Amino acid sequence: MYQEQADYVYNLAYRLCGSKSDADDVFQDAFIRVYRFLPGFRGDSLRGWLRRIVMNAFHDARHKVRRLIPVEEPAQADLADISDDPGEHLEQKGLDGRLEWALNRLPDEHRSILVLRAIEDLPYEDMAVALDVPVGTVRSRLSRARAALRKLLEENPAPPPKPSAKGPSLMSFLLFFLRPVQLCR
Amino acid sequence: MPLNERQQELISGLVDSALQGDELREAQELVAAQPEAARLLEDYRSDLQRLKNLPRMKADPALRARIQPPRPAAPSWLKAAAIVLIVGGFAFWVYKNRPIKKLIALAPAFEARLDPGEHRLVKVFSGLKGKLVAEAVTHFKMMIDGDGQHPAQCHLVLNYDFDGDGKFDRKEIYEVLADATPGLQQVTDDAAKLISVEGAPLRDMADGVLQAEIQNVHPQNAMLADIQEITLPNLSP
Repeated sequence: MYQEQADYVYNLAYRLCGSKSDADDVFQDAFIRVYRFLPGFRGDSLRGWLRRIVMNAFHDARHKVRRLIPVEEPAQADLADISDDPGEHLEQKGLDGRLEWALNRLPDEHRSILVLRAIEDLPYEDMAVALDVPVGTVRSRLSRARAALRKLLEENPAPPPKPSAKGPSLMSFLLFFLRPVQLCR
Repeated sequence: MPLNERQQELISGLVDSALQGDELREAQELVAAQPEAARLLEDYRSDLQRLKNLPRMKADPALRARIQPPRPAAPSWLKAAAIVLIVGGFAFWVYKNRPIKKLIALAPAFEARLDPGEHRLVKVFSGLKGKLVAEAVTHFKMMIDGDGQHPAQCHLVLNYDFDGDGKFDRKEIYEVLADATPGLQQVTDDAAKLISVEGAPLRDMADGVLQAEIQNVHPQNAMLADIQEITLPNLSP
């Protein structure tokens, strides 16, 4: 079970947390709970049960951080991998870095619901169960989350490609000096 | 004209195919009527697809290795049984290998006088069973009286037949000197007088035989000798 589900659990933890270090903690905490409660698991859906455990571990981790670090900004701002570089380092790797950056900037409740909808591909009813909120709340929260994500993406458009930091090439440098010679001939 | 919150919610629901009936019709009409709604619908669909395409993250191998599932715990009765078995086995081993301090007198009242010319006295103990410790030595206690004659000296020869096959496997020779004083009965209890060992090391006795022999080293002199006790090392009864 561990071998089969470890990647699923980690990906969910990572997407919920938005950072590797927090995802590692949630991943560990989630599997501690899995080992503790697995003997009593009688449900039909292992994925659903795991999802709930990861969500609980994620929420507990967030509450713990909020208690320890009283900040005005939402706690996730301290936890997520936020930099002034809106995902450019990821874009360079061919990943959708700007989207990841924007997703990680969202408040927890917006990011969570987007993850459940887009990555977990859950219907509204299952999202309501996972988040322990009414279906109507899921619908409105999802709409607000989409709007917030879109706003972040539009406010941080892809920057124009940077000029090469290496400066003029050696060939252009030589041509520059050869040009007067050619004119003299 | 910017969309209000309810209209955005309808577009969001349309993206997820979560609308039915009047709401679905309303959303479709909104998209058809307002370019902003159509654009938002496209943006939301694009965002959803991009989110779905985000790479699947995997835990580091080191992290995965650290969170291996615990081994299934053994039932408590099994643990208890294992403990009882280990402790019981150890206690039995200790019991079986305990040193036996009990002295076993194999030669009670073995007294004889060796008159001049007589050389040896022999006593045989048979049917011996038990465990002997190879590195240990046999102890004996004997009385010797030189009857005033000098020199008075005897050898105690112990022949071992460990398995009772009639063939001696080991031979130990002890030298015992008598005092020249007439009537002085010297009791010796010292294995340090061992002067010779031949044959196999001590091993377990299985219906074994011990032959004790007193040899008068100077047969021209009379001697009174008495083996009071022979104690084999750790011979179990």
